[in-house]
Amino acid sequence: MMQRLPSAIAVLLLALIFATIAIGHAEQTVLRPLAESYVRLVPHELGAPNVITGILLTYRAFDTLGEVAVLFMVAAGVGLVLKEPGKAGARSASDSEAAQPASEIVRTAAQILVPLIAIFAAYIIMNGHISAGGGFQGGAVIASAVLLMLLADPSHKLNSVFLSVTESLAGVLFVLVGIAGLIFAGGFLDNRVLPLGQFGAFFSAGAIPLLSVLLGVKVGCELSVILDRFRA
Amino acid sequence: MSEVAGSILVLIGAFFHFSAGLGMLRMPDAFTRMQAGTKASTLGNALILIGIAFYHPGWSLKLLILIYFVFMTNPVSSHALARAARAIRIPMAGPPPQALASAPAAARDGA
Amino acid sequence: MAPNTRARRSASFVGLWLLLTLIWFAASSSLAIESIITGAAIAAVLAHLFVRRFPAWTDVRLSPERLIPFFRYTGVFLVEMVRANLNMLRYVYAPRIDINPGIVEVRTRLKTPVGRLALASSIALTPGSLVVGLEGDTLTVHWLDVKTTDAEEATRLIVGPFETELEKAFG
Repeated sequence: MMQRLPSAIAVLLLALIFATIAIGHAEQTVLRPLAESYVRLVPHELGAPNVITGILLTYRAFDTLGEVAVLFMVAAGVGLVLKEPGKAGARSASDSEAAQPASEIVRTAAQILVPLIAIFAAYIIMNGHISAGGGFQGGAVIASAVLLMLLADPSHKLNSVFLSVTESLAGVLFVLVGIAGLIFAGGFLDNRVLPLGQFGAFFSAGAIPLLSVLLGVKVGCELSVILDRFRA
Repeated sequence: MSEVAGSILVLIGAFFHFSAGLGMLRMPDAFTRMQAGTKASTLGNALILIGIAFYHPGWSLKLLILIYFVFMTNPVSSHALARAARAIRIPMAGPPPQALASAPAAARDGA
Repeated sequence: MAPNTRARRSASFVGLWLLLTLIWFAASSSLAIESIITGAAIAAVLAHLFVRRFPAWTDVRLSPERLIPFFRYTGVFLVEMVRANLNMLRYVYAPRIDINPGIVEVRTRLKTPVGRLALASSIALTPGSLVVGLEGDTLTVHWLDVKTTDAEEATRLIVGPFETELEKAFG
């Protein structure tokens, strides 16, 4: 009983903190001025119902480019720190008793689930401007499908050359669309290079769906490369 | 009216989740805990999602996809865990010991 | 394993393509024609990509006559699952845990990987059992309350409710 006393006290203190936060929370009824202006501007100027994607891919699109560059640096850093197998000798001795081929059930389940996850990721990417979604989220879902494939079949070889080339190509296209925004519309990565279309329709909000797709492809490839490095 | 029905379903689903947690606490070893966790939490998930479908009928197709996904992945993941547990030879609890019932009698006789 | 013939592959391609388009439509919940066309196009690309590499899709023959047993299997599955959970509640909330855990081996007649996956999932979601291993046609099952250690009897109790329906649905 005495052993449980500190745990009980800890739980009690946590409950106290949570209660203070929950009781003192007052819901905001009006938006702050900056948020108000964004909520007004994004549907009006950009033609996108999803305010967040509008901000991410047009008003603060340069930040998004920087985030993608950070992901690329992470992938490169992970590749540098986790060297290719050459040092696998020390690990295989301890793993040999626990390593066994993946169960047939897991393999079959992975084969069934990966196409379904892929189409769901495509849906998330393509619907970034209408409802919740976008490039980053869809890219992470693609990477989870790749992770499932790797878990079910640990000896599966990922074509990392193809992944690197695709990722770089997507990045280059992203910057090219931005430069087109400089030439044809208001500024770098302005989404009005493509027609704004009807509000809320599937092909609308200018270049935002295109940018979402490029972003999703790039993020998906980068995360897959990171996962591949961890596996080796 | 449909909101009340939805809320009741969500509550029942939460109760199943709680039972899953309680089962994991009370069960003796890893395998039995996995059993308690998988079954109750899968049904809890399904009930909560169905309850939400009552609140937002427009989302029912998406929620159906989610329910189907949970049904497909929960058993597979628990199978993978159980197989791994068996491979590294986690000790498995046997039937509850019968000696416990006769121990007080032996103590009384011995003392 | 079924022969990977061209006819079988194109039938599976169509089946997978329809399934993926259906998921796209259910997820977007919109009837806009451009959304459906884009979804169908993406589904076609994915179906072509995966039908060749993943044998699980070519092994199961998706045809209309398999649909009715599949729905019947779903019904049996749901009933068994609710029963399993009420059973589990009885175990969890009893004042004393009175379970009798053990491992038994059961046999299955199903051949296709998809059928065996469905059987393993059904066993996992039903009263007190969990598939721990699968070799050939022998399933190793961890049972929460071992009623009998005889293989035949155990097969009948654990696998029985599902095998007939699954055999017709997935072969």
